Amino acid sequence: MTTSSEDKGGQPSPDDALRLRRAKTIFLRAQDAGLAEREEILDRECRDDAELRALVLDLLRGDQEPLTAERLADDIRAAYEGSTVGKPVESRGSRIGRYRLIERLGEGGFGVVFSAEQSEPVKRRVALKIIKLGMDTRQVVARFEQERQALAVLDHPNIAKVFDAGATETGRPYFVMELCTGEPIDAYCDRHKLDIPKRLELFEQVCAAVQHAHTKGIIHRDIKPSNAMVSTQDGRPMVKVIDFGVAKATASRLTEKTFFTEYAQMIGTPEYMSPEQAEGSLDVDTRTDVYALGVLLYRLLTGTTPFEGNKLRSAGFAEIQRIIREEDPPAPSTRLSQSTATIQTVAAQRDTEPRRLGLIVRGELDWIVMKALEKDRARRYDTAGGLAMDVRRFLLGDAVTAAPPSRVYAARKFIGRNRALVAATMAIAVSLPAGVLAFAWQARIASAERDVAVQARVAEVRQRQAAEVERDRASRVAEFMSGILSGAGPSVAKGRDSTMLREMLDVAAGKLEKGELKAAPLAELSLRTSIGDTYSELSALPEAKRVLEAGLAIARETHQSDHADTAAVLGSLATVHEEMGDFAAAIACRREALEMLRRLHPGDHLSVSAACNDLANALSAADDHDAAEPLYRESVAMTRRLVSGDDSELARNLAALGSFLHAMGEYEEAQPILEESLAMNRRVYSGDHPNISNILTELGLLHVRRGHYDVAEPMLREAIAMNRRLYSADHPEIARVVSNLASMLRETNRLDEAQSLYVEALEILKKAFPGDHYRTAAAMNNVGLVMSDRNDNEGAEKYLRESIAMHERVGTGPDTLVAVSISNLAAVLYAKGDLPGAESMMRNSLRMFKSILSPDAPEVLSIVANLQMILQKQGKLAEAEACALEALAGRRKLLGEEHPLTLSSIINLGMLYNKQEKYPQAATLLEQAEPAARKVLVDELAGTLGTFLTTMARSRFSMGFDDARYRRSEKDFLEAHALLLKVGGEADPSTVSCGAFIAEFYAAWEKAEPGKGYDAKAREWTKPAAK
Amino acid sequence: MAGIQSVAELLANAEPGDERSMNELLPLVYKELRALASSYLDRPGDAAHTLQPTALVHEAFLKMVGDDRQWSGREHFMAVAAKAMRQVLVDHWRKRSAEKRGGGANQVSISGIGAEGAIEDVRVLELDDLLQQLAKADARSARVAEMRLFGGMEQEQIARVLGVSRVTVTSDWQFARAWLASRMNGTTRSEDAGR
Repeated sequence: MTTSSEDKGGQPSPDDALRLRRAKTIFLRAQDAGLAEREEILDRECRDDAELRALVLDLLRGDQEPLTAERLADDIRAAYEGSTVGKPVESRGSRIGRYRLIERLGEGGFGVVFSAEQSEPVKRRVALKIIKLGMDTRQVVARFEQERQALAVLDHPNIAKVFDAGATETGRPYFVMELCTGEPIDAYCDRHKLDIPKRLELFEQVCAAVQHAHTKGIIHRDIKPSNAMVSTQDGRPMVKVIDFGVAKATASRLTEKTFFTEYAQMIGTPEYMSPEQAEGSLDVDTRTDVYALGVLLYRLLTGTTPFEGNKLRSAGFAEIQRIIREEDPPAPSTRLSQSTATIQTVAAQRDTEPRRLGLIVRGELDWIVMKALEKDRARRYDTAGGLAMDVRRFLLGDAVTAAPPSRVYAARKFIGRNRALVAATMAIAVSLPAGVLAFAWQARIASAERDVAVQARVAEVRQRQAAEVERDRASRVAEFMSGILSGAGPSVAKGRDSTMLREMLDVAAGKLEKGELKAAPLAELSLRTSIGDTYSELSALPEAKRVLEAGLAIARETHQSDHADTAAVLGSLATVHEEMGDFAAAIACRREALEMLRRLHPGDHLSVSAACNDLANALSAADDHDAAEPLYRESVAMTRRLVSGDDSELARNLAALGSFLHAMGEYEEAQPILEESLAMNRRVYSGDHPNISNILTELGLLHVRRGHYDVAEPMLREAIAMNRRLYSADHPEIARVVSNLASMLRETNRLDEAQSLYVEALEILKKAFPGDHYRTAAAMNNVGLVMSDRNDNEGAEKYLRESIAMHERVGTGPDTLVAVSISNLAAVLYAKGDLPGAESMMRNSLRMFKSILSPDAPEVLSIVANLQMILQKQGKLAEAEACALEALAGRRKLLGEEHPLTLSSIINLGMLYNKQEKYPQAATLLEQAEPAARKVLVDELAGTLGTFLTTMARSRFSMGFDDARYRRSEKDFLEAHALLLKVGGEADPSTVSCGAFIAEFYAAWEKAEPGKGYDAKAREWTKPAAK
Repeated sequence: MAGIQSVAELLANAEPGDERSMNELLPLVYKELRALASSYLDRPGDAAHTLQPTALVHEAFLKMVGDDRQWSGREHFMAVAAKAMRQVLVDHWRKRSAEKRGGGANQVSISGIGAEGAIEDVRVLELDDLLQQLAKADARSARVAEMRLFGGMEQEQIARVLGVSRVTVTSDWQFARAWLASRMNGTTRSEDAGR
């Protein structure tokens, strides 16, 4: 850089410079003085220095004259403000309409804000915001006029009221609003060094304001710190959210052309812009505000925004769009850990230490923020209230509804990485030893079973809610119609064609949309709940959601405080969310409903016990078992205190608790509870009922788990028959039980029927849920599994990969489903001989399971057992042994000694000991288990007994010669071979390897006792083995 | 846009009165403004080749800093931009006057981007010259004037950037303004106080 201009002539000499400085002092002193005094000063100060005196006089003259260059300054200043230059700028003192400007407060994104005085009809101080020129004034004012009517309903302590709008004489639109002193929320927090909890409390106030507007159907669209002003009132910080409706009135479609000129001026900063806004969509909704709130929270926590302003500002339009739409910002705690340079300051402003700040933010606050910042708005909190509730939960130490994104994310990454590996690995067909009883045996059915816990109570919930809603209704018309509608639901219509019912619903919903019942909100609410519930029963979920969400808004508006109606609509809506797989949203609704009901009914109350149960179901569906269990138990205990004898409510809550305990692997405790519920339901309802078929299914599955197939099968078949009578042909309820039966058939090796039933279930679900759905994905998983059972590895891999991909696309379903599919894929890769691929898949699946379930859960044990096989196959024997011991210990604890899976673990461990040449250990283990094996491993499991005996005999003879032991081994070997031959045939790998061991055995015997003819026997057994 | 990131970073670290970060920033901002200026001037069909400093500063500001009113670096940017703007304008008009051959620097004017018919001339080269003279006697007053005139900054902002009190800025500005007005309005230095 050179200096701006070369020196020119006429420079002042050092003397001149000195004189000019002196002149400055005199000028400043004389400036404020009167004329006479001024003369005196000049005479005194300048004395005989004529040049100095002339200079001072020049300055005094210049002071009175215009400086044309100031024009440039004004223009540049105006340019910074984004104002179009050349028109008069409103300044203090001037009048606009009935307002007199008092003081310029500052500039917002839209224009300049003044404090002003209103003279009529009331005298008050207001804030007046003048919008920049260049926007279409007339349109803006007209749009604002529309908006103003909506804004008039906003009445919330945290919202600045908007009073008026108009246009100045120069045509600039202006808005008049409540005068808010204070400073932007982020500046306030930093200046007062507020710690994280205090910041969160302020943030809650912002959410409350936005939520209030949302319930009135008003979206802010431009939430950012400068629109959330904080002042201290009565010693407490108070938030006022300003500029509601302004963004909408001034919004225009965002294009590249208008981006920098218009948008950048208007909105000012792209950091708070949601992906849908960045796309230029005018279709914004409450979730757009949720995104901006997420950015705001991010800033309050970390001092920065998810995408740093500098990065965005230096990017072009397309790049800004891309960043906002595609880039995943770091979680707040990650951002904090990245900026070691600034974290000291950031932490100090939050009244804490850098390390401690990271710890506070990491985890739940990260999740909350990241959920609000989801690119896909369907995955964000639906409302500001939902976000605020999670923040409150965090403050209270409760579990938040936001979940770590890492599991699904990790799985996606994992699959991506391993795809290449899988493709690069040559497939070598290696079949599993028959002794590994049905590889991935347990994990496979997990998917189908999981549904049960969620779905089992759904139908009853709806009935109960419909009944509650029908009571105490303001409008008889609505009551009448509600009766018809709920009476026509599937559980009553029993399979009669529901087309007509659907048409009736559409007509009724259409009338409501047109506002025909606007005058009677309670009637409309009642009707909406009935229509929504019935839609939901017909699995018309988007329709149900729409109708119920509108109903919820009406409920909130009509009943400003807690009310049973609001709780009921929340419950219905939650059911729809659950059906759609959006458990986070469902939990938020359920929790709100429960809290509301607890406040309405302190102490025991049936609606509270029911709401406990509902929330527990939703939590359990979202894998939050720890939170679910106490709620299930509370629900049953409370109901028992309230009712006597047979009661549908008690039966329902018992079933829920039993199903939950079942899902947790607490079979002993679960079974009598479920049986009590089934008997009670059969007495309460005569004939077919969804509750009965649901508990039959649950209990059937429990017996499957415990290995009581003969008890389980008729129960499942009865449930299917009942569902076919209750529901239309494509109903997911039918698919659910059908696939459960299929799973049982698979377990008992009836693969043909199993496959056709799985395919039937898949077809039903495809029709019931067009597009991607987690249940469809689970059904594909099941078809893939049965294919792998039948050694169709190609088909299996195809279905499994498609299932995993669909889970990834859906993203909101329970994570265990993905973990199951991944473990199954690992099994298929193992079968194809891709051992490293199988190992890493299996380890990934295990990690996912362990993060969700208890270490003793059947799924976890199955995966551990499977991992053992993969490790063993790769010669990693020590690692394999650890897995085998873990699996066996878990199964003994969970299933007892006499269970096929426990025995399977024993066989596996025995084989491993043999491989490690720990023969005495193997022999002891197997001998102790022999009675149980002979009792349990019969009929279709006889082949497994063959493997058991082979393994035991092998360990015995390998311990060295002993006449009795060798004779015993010979007997066991021959029995094993016969069993294997019968079950698997001559070419079965297990039969072949058994034969090989026998040949080896006779060779050893020959060596120990030569000349007794064992060499001939050895040759005889070698032959078939060589084949 | 590699330089732009540094602008933002430098600004983020700027402290009141921090001349060092100013000096690092200046080349970057200057480069940006100059590039923008030449893109304006190269625009076809603009026969007048009018340089519009306000448009320049507006675009440069949005590009480099954005429009975040809360952000403290804003004032530092404005101060640096003032210096850069002064230089860009001087370069521009020196070149123009050379082209006009014989046109005295004092006759060359630029327009504010004002409304039609309301153009007032700002004699940039003369102004620059006067500010240099002033700087020899009172550097701080010259800086204040530069920030005020080429940066459109208000006195509070200038006070924050320089790390001095508001009163000091007011005095400096009154002095600088009076001096500039007396020099730019009179053709020569007047000996006659009672004009």
